[in-house]
Amino acid sequence: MEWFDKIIQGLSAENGQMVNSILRIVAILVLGIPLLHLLSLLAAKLTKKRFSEHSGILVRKLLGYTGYIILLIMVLNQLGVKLAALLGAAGIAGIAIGFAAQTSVSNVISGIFLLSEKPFQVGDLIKVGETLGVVHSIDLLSIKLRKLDNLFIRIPNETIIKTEVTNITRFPIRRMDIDIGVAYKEDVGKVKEVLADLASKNPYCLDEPVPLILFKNFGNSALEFLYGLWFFKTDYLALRNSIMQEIKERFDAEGIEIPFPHRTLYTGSATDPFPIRLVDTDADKALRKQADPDSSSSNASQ
Amino acid sequence: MAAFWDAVEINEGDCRLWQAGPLRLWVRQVGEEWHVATESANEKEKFPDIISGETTAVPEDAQWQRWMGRGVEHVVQLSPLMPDRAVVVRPEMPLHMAYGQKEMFFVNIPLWIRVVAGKGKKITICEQASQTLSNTWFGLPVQGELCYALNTKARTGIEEIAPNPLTAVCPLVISNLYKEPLNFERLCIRTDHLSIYETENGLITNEVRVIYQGEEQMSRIKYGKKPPALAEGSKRVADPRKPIENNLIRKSFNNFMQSFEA
Repeated sequence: MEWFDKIIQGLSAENGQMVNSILRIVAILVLGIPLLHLLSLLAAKLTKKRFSEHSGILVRKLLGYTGYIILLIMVLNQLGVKLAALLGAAGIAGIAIGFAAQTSVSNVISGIFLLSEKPFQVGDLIKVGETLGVVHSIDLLSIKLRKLDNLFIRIPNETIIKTEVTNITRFPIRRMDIDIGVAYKEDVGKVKEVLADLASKNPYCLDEPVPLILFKNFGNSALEFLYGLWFFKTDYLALRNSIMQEIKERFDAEGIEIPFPHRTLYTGSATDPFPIRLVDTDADKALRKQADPDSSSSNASQ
Repeated sequence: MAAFWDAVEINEGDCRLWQAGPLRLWVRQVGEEWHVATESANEKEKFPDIISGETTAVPEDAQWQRWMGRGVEHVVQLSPLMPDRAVVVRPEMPLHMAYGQKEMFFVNIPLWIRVVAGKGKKITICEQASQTLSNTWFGLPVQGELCYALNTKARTGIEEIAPNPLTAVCPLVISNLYKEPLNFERLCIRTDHLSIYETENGLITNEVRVIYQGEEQMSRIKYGKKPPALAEGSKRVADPRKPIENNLIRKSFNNFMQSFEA
């Protein structure tokens, strides 16, 4: 065991300070990291209860980043790194990094504005441009959406600040607007009655606010109605599926025609037949001969 | 009518039928399971007869639901329950009350049914609405509450209401202490604060008293803790879903929505 004693003596004598430093660093990391996690989780839980899930996530991340920086400074201090010089160098590097990180900084600042403005929360269904999704998380640099087909989308906070954002589930009830066209021959009063009756019978359609039935326009091909039904925000699909079918079935039962777009051509008089002229080309004759070689070709022009 | 809510013994394989108003409900006992099926009458129609737990053949096209109930005695009982949401009651024609007027109205509220199995050890099998009520919104589009909608004649005499085992009459006393007439088109009744009492003529809830003091002031609302005077001494058959909050002060009679919250 002489060799062991020699090692210890060597370490103690020459590297005592380094061993102490290493032990302190290990202690800082072993105690600091779990403690930091615990503190940030507790703070996030309290913030979530008092404010919102969004705030809880941000508090946890802020505490985490700050805590790790403090731990890093403590470790560097133990290693004897002179922080003043490091900060001085960081200041110069910061200018260079600042130019390179403009977008990231902009995203962080936009994230702070989003935090204070609260246009949406985690769990809301939002539309950003053409992208529709449920807010999965709101982070410092970006927000994450889960699309309805379960795709993951990351949108930078800067984009959110600059773009029109529609929060579909912000309010508890919504109105579903359906454009309906009926043929010109139909009785407008009867159509309104039928639509009102359908709304009253559909269990997902709210009695109040009163459904909107508006005779909107004399369209090109139809009498145009706006049918606005109020519903509780979670009943969108149930109402959409049921009411569209009910409208079609009821219109069929009542004999109300839903026309498709059409054009009527007049040649100057609505009552005279539309004149046409048939032209029998050589190609037509050849085709007829091919189809029926025995029959003689006839001149079909008039 | 009291027999509708009585406990019924049910043997293995038996099928029992309860029928009243727009609802038919079957219960059968199979092994350690309880099977429940329901059928609703077409809109505006009702089943003509009241049937209270009679043995019947198993209906062929019923949509059964299974409930596990191991170790429970073969006894089943229906009990009445208030709806699980507030009910917005709309008088068939708008009501107006002059200053100083006080009036009692009777509103017929469709009940829910709780199916309970067992005698000593009881289990709740299911809760079922006796009638499908339409949804409505009480409040502003940005903030409010999802409720059921109910049209009522808002009768002033309880004898005008035909007895029905699946509805409970709610006595509503409204006093207008404001210097201008009270015009309202709808009332929101928080049915989860109502108890149900059994009388000879049917089910009745505790009284709800509302004192209207104008749109700018809060209306005072009180829920009675005892049976109403015209049902004194009656037996309570259902507790409120939620405890009654004293000094429940809420803004009432919103002109825009013409809503009154009880």
